Amino acid sequence: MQGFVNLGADFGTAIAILIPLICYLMGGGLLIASIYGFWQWLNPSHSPRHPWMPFAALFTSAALLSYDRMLNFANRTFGGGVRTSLSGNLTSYTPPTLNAGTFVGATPEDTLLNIITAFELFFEAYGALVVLFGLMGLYHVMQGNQQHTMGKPIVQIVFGIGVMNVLAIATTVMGYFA
Amino acid sequence: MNRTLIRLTTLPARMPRTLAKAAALATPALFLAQHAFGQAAGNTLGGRLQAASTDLTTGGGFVLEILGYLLGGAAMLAGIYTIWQHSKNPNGQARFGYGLVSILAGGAFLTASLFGTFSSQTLAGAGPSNTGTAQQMTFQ
Repeated sequence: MQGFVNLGADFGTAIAILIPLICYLMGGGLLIASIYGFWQWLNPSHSPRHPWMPFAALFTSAALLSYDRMLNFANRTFGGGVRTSLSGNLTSYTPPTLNAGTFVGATPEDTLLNIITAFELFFEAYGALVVLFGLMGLYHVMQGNQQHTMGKPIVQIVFGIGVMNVLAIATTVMGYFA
Repeated sequence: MNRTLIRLTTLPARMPRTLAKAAALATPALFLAQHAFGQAAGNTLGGRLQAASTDLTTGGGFVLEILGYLLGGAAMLAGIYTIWQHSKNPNGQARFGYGLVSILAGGAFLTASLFGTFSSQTLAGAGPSNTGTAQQMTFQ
């Protein structure tokens, strides 16, 4: 079990390092693309299919460049208590040390909550990644490249925030059984 | 001393055999090396990604910088050329408004980071937290 927890924490750390990288590269690229769009807006030989795209690209790039704050806005609305921030100090992963004596707990509800707590870092990082993909999906819908409407990425973002706050949700659900 | 030299002309013909031989020799060494790495502290997925993230962020920052620099120069030149053409023939293809916007866009390209700061402040109420150095998202 400890090995499995180590693997989960390692995946979580890897995703937590990947997210700022994706945000920086995509945010910077979209920023340049939006300025290019504003420039070409008045080009007489250019008739854009979606004239709002420079604005969409600019706001998406701003959301990506301050992605932790956007996550905090969403998390405050959701109310699960998870807060994110970006740190320049890259740390290695520190998996929780499982205590075999207390891990099982007194009730099945305790066991489930202990398991979720042990994998919490993975859930939080993976939820943040799901929200990031949702944000990118929103941008692609605005671009007109997708068959579906904005509903799909919005649902993805909401459930991504849900995955980040899985401990709060599980605690609430377990409260019904206690 | 009896040494066989590989002639350049025969090298492509020898490649399949040589590669297979090299792979056969290298594979056990690779497993040994991985085993040794696996034992070393900190050689995790996160650890590998830290190195990759540092490299890609720095390299990506340079690419974005050069893009802004080149596009900014191009936009400035296009703007000056358009305004010049407009002054020669006001009823022609070159519009004054496009020339003016080209120069403004050139300025925005050359100060793209400032432009990003403004947009981030509009949206999130603070400057960008993703600053172009290798970072890690932390959860509390």
